[in-house]
Amino acid sequence: MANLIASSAYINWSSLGTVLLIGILAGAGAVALYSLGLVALSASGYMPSAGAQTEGRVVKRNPLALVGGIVCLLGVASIAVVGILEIFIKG
Amino acid sequence: MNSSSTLVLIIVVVVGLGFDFTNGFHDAANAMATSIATGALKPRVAVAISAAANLVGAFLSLAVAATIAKGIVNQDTVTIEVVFAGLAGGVAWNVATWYFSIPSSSSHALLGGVIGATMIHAGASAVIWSGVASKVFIPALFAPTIACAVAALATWLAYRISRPVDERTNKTGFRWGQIGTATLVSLSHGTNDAQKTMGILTLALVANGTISSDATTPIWVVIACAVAISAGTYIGGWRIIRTLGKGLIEIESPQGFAAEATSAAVILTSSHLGLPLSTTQVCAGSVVGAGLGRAEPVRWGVFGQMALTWVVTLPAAAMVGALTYAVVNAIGSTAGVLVMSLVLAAFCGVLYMLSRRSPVDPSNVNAEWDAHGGLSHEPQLAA
Repeated sequence: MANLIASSAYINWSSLGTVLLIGILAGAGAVALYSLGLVALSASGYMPSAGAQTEGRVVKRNPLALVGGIVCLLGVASIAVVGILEIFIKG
Repeated sequence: MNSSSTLVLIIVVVVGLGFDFTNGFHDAANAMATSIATGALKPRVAVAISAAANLVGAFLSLAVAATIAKGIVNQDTVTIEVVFAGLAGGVAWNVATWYFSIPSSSSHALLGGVIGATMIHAGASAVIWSGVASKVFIPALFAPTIACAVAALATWLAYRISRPVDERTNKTGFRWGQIGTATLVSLSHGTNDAQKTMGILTLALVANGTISSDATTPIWVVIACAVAISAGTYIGGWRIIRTLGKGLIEIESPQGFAAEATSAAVILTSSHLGLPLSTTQVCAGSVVGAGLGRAEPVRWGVFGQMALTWVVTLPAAAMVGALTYAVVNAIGSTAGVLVMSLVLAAFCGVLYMLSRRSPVDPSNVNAEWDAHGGLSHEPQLAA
């Protein structure tokens, strides 16, 4: 039980640090990228907003924002693919 | 191999698959609770997707199948009765925590059962305490902390960045994201948790002399475990889904997406590095982080009860494992295993009957959370 008290010796700080770092990059990064994608798609005018529909406004379309939004979503998808590949590599 | 040892092996396999089944319904919440709570998926659809992903995941990797309990107990001391007692501890703890609607680690329960049985069978010296510290206690401390910190950041970013997006697009967009990330969490769960039962059943087959110690996991074990965990997931542990989805915070779709993305990233990274973080603890930490990231009130009382349960999981399952082994040893192997499996079945049956007095199902899983820990006539958490 003395070993348990001295448990700090068993902490793999580098692995925990890596999990935190990759968690931030892949987890929070993917969320940020996905949010950016939604902003870009929303601004592109190809996804009609509820407000514009109700008010009958004509929405100006922006193909560049559409491309940007799609790129962001593809970025998120590629992060997910890396995650799935990790499962395959482990197997 | 004589007929009595065959009977013991059959009972161990049945109890092992029973553990796998309880693991499935216990952990269905990890992937799908937030998707159900935000309305991203209908409850039945959510558990069906999760069950399918778990089934696929169970076939994708066999990397940890042979490593369960390795580094925790001296494997030379493991007998088929020890495996049975360990499984009994895991099943009893899973069913008890399900009844009280508390998410807890199935893996820690299984390891606790094996540790308790080993201590009675071969003494405390057969337990590798440094392994227990590094594989159970320390990860239990850091898993929710890391997940909470990352999810808080992810949630803050999600709300900050998506501010210009109108509410309907925002809600729909993040709901789609939730479906993707929740499926990824289910897939990773299938690759990890189904294999733990595959590992323990392989250990039983080796201990019984059915297969040699260097044999690979038999294909029927892989298929049976995959089906059991998938069936358990489809049954849906609605009580735990409700606690994780509605009990900790009032969750919205951006928070659900942030929590699931964080869980997927942390689980897959720790799995890659061989760091045994509990899926349950990561997911609960992520949900709390999703609340903190929006400066939203978290029901700390509910989280406190969860944390307390995580602390006592290993010793409680160890006590059940130790008691089971002692009774099996006192009565005699075959008769003892038979008697204790009937006692275990009766225990599970009684808790199931009691749970019917305050059922939680797809119709009320998203009902408002009240001050008594859920539905007005539901047993209070950790009461």
